[in-house]
Amino acid sequence: MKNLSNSKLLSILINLLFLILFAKFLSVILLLFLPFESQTSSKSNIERMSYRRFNFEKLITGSKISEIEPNRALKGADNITSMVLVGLYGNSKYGYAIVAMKSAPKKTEIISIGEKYQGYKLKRIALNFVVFVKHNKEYILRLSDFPNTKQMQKSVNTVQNDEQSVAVARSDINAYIKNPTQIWRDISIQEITQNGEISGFKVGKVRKNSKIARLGLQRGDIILKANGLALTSYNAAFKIYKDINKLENLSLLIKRGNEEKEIIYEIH
Amino acid sequence: MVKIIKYIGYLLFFIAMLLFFLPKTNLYYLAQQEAKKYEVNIFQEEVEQKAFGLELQHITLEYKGIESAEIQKIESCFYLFYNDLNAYDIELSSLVEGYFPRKIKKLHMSYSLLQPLQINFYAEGAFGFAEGDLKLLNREFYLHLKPSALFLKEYKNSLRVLKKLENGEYSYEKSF
Repeated sequence: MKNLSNSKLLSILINLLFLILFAKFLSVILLLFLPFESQTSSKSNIERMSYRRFNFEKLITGSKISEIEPNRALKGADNITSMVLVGLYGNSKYGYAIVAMKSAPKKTEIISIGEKYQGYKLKRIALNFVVFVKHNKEYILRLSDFPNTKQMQKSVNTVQNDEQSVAVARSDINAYIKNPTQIWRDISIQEITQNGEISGFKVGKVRKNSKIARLGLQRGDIILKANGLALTSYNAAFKIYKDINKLENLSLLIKRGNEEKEIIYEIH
Repeated sequence: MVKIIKYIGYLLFFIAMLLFFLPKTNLYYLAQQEAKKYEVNIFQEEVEQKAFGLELQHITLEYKGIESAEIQKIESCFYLFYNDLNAYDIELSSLVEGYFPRKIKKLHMSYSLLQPLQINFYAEGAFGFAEGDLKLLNREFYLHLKPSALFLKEYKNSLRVLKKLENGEYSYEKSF
């Protein structure tokens, strides 16, 4: 027993045990200075908002008005007093109306032509009213507080001064996708930051006579939004870039000087 | 002499134990935090600490908030004198689709105390085969590429930034 306790082997084992404990001790000390949690995914939930363009001008002006035949529905038709017409879109053959009961005006329902609401079947949509049918009798429901058409037209024209519509060939987009280096030859874009946060992307240069030059962007423009999505990160910008060949419409909200302007691209 | 060998043995054993007990998962979390300062985000679904390494599964890399790559698995080994990292089944973001084939089958990176100022790497994938190194002191990057038929056919524009060698292969050098 005495020989065993004095043996070199035991000494070595004790030394190794000490080294193990010391290594463990150092690891525990180190652990105190290290983070305990992994970085959680910041996968942004930025939803790509698809851009849908409604031609409101068509809704209230132009050819649609001539199609409406306003007097036809008025003759012998009664008004519906229990309902309110909140909105409408379409023409005499196709469209929908947003309606609600007067007793609960916030509880709206969207009904299309041919559908029933409270026993009334939507027959036709006119400029500022819709025609329902019940028991073979026509009933009219008018838009409340509908301004006259001239006022509305004026307002539409005013809005369109800040809006520009540009047709873009899909083949041009595909050409840029196939040769992305060409994009950066034709345009330079740099992020704009405010308080360390990206607030938009500034157009540095646009090469003359390039396909990009036809898009209406100018040097100094700051792109703030694309399809309603605020471009406050590279991710947001690249999401649009990634999906560009799938889009049919793209709207860019830009700041030019002190004015904001919307450019709408219709991709064909 | 025996004593010296004994002490070297003890030292090696201590280093091995230190590497064994090293909180590698937490060191990885620290690396995540440090990378974040450079706008590089690393996310993973699983982290498994091995005796002398770490294994990550289903990793997503983001740069400046842009999802840049998805990696099926990363294995790393720390032996102090020799450390390596293997990444398998890397799929680069669709953003690079126009520049580079997206699928990389394997990326191997190694660092050895025999070459303390250099990180070596090689990679293989749809682009072909590449190897190179990163010289830390001189801040130089060197890449040697044997492009695949796909790369030669579909990504001619990208090859323009590389230097063509006599044997039909390509090289790229950059100081940073």
